[in-house]
Amino acid sequence: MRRVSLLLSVVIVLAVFCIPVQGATIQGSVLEAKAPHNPLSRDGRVTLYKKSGAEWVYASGASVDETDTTFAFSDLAAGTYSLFVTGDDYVSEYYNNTTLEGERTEISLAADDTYDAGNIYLRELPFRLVNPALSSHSVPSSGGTVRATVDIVNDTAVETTVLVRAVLTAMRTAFNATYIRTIHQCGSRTVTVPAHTTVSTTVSIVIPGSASPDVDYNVRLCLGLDKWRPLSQSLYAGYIAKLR
Amino acid sequence: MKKYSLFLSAIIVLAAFSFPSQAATIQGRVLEQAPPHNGLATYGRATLYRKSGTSWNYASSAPISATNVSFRFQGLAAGTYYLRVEGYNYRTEYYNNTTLYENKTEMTLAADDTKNVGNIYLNPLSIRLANASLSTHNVPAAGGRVIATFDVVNDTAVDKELLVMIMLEAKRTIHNATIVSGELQGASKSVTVPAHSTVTATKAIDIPETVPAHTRFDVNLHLTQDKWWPQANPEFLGIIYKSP
Repeated sequence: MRRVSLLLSVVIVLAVFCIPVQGATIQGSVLEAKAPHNPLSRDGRVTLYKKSGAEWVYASGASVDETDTTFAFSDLAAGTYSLFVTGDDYVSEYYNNTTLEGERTEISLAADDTYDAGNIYLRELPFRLVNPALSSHSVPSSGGTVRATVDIVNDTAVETTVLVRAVLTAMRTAFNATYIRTIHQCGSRTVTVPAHTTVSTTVSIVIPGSASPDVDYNVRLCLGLDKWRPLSQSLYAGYIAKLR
Repeated sequence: MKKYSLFLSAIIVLAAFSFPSQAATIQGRVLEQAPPHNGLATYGRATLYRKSGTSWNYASSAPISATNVSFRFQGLAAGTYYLRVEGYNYRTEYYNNTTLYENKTEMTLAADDTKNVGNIYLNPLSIRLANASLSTHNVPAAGGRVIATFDVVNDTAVDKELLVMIMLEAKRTIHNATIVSGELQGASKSVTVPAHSTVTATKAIDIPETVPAHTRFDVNLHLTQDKWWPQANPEFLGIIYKSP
C-alpha cells in the first residue's frame, strides 16, 4: 500500500510539472497584396505591441521572408495587442489594412485565446529598384570596370526623374584577424522613368589598379528623388573582389 | 504515514529536478591593453568555437562593452574550445594574445571544469578616429550648417596623410508608416597626421533648404589611407534632423 501511495504521489508531482501554462496566441501570414499573393520578395517583419495604460509597448517581433510567410506569437499574457507589419520596399501597415497608427485594430485576448489575423497583404512601394545584377564579381590586379544593371519601377501616374546611386562598402583584413570596413565610393546616374513603366539602367563601377588587393567591395544600390531624398530601401547587388 | 510518504516522494522528485547537470564554464574579461586597462571604448564580442573532428564550429558568443567587460560561457559540453575576441576599432585576437589563427590556444575541458582565462587585453587599431561630435543635431527649415569635430589618431612610426569621409544616411517617412533610408551624401577631407600624434579636424556639413522637412540624417565618419583603402571601422557621430 505504501508503494502504491509513493508511486501515485510521484505521478501526481510529475503531472503538476506537465500542466501547460495558459497563454494566448496571435498568428497569421504576410503576403504580397497583388495577385497571386506571393510571399514578399524581400525580408519583412511583424512587430507585436501590447497596450499598457495609454501606451503601446513592444512585446515581440517575428521575421517573414520568401520561404516562411507565417508568424505566431505564443504564450502571450491576456491583454490588448496591435500588429505592425513591414517589408523592405513594401508600404508598412498596421493590422488591419491601414497605414495610419490611429486607425489600427486593437486585438483583445483572454489568457488562452488564439487569434488568427489571417493573411496580411503588403503593397509594394510605388518607386523601387528590382533585379540587380553585376557583370562580374571580381576585377584583376590591374583594375577593371564592373557594370551594375538594375530595373527602376515607377508605379505612379507621373513621369519621374530619379537618381540611382551605387555605393561601395570596402572590407579589408588587417593584422591577420581584424576586419575593417567602410563606405568608400559612390557613383550616381540620373534616369527618367515614365508613368507606370519600368526602365532598365546600368551604373559603371570603376576599380583602378591603385585600389589595394584583397579588398572585398559590397555593392548596394540606392534610389533617390534627388540627392537628398530616398525613395526606397537600398538594394544589395553583390560583391566585387579585387584580386592580387 | 501515507501523508508522510506522499510528502517525501514529492521532495525526492523535486530534488531530482533540481540536480544540476554537469557542464563546463569558460569565463574572463576584455579590457584595453593600455594602462589603466579600462573597458573597451566601443563595443566588442567574445566568440567561442568548439572542435568537432578536424573542424571548428561556432559554440556561443557574448557582447562586451565599456560597462560590461566580463563574459561567461556556461553549460558547455566537455571538449576542446578556442576564443576569438574583437572590439570595434581594436585588433582582433585569439586567446591567448595572438592575432594569428594558427597560434590560438586550445582549451580542453572536462564536463564540470571551470576555466578562467583572466583578462584579455586588446590593442586599438594604430590608425583610427576618436572623440567625434556634431555642433548641433538639427537644422531649421531654412537649412543650415553643422560642424563635425573629430580626432585622427596615428599610433604608427610614420607620418600619414589620411582621408576622412563623412557619409549621410537619410531616413524619410512616406505613406504615414513606412521609413525608407539610403546613403545619399558624402564629403571628404585630407588630414596629415605626424607619427605618434593625434590631430583634431573639422568638416562642415551643409544641409540646404531644398532638403525635405522631417528628414533625418545619420552621420558616419570613415577613415581611409586613400579613397580605396579602409583604415578603421566607421564611427557614428549622431543624427541631424531637418525641422519642418
